[in-house]
Amino acid sequence: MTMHNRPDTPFHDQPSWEPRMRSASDQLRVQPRPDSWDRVRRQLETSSPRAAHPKVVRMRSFLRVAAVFLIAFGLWVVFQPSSLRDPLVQSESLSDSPAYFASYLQVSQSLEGRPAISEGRRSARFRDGFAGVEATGDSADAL
Amino acid sequence: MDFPVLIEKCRHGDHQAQSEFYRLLAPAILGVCRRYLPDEHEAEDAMIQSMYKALTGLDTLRDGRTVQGWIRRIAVNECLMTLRRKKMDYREDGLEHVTTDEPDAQDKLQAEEVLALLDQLPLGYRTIFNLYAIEGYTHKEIGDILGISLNTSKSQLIQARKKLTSWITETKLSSSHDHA
Repeated sequence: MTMHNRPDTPFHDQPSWEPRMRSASDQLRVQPRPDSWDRVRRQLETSSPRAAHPKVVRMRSFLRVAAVFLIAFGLWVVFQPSSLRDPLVQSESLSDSPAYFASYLQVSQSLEGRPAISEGRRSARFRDGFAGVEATGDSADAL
Repeated sequence: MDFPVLIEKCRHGDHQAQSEFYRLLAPAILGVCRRYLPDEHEAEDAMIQSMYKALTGLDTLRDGRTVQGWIRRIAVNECLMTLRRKKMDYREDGLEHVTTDEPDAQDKLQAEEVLALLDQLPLGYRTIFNLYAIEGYTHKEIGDILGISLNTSKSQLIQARKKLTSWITETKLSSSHDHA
């Protein structure tokens, strides 16, 4: 039994003309139209990557680095550690928490009754600020 | 023609070599595409796509000596994709055994006659006949490729063979009358 006549092979039980048709098919040649190569060539030209100008290459690599930096910064902003956040702009739930309120109260109480800046330091600043003005005299009149 | 050398040149983007590669292989590949696709324009489009894919995918070809079989498989796949876009309907036509008087196997069948015969077959019969009888795929493989059942593939092949046998017989009879 030949291979082609085994039931499990593609050519099992084939008509007698089929091998002849198979070999005729192998010989089949159809001449394409003359412009068909141009179509393939155009496709090849548009698909093949051309060598880019060095400036373009540098710009591309710069943009790539910038994009990576922006993405990293964006991720840092979104997922930054809570310790780095400004406590005053933290979420409402945190500022409402008893611990936060207790620490706020403690700071407020320690500052209570104390002027924002002492009287002595204020007059000293005043003197320093007008030292140059007193020296010229004209400016003092203008004031 | 030394295909491995030509392929190596094509891989390096040698336009002359690519043109030569096309000139040598395009007629055979268009022949394959025409067997599957009756429309000449569709067949040529499939051939052009196949040649383009082959020329851009030569790096995946391990042995340059097998290029003809490799590109032929690309072409068959391209034709099947074209046929798939047409959303062909493969029907199961019954699996009765065909007993037709067969023409003599020694009768000469020219390459051009193959196309003339295949052009008379409905697209479904034609596809399955091509895949099974010419390319050598099994019914299971055809079923997987086309998404049809084993029996549908078998029944379509039987119908294709039946029609072809009767046409070949008729051709033989008419030609013998002409000679007489």
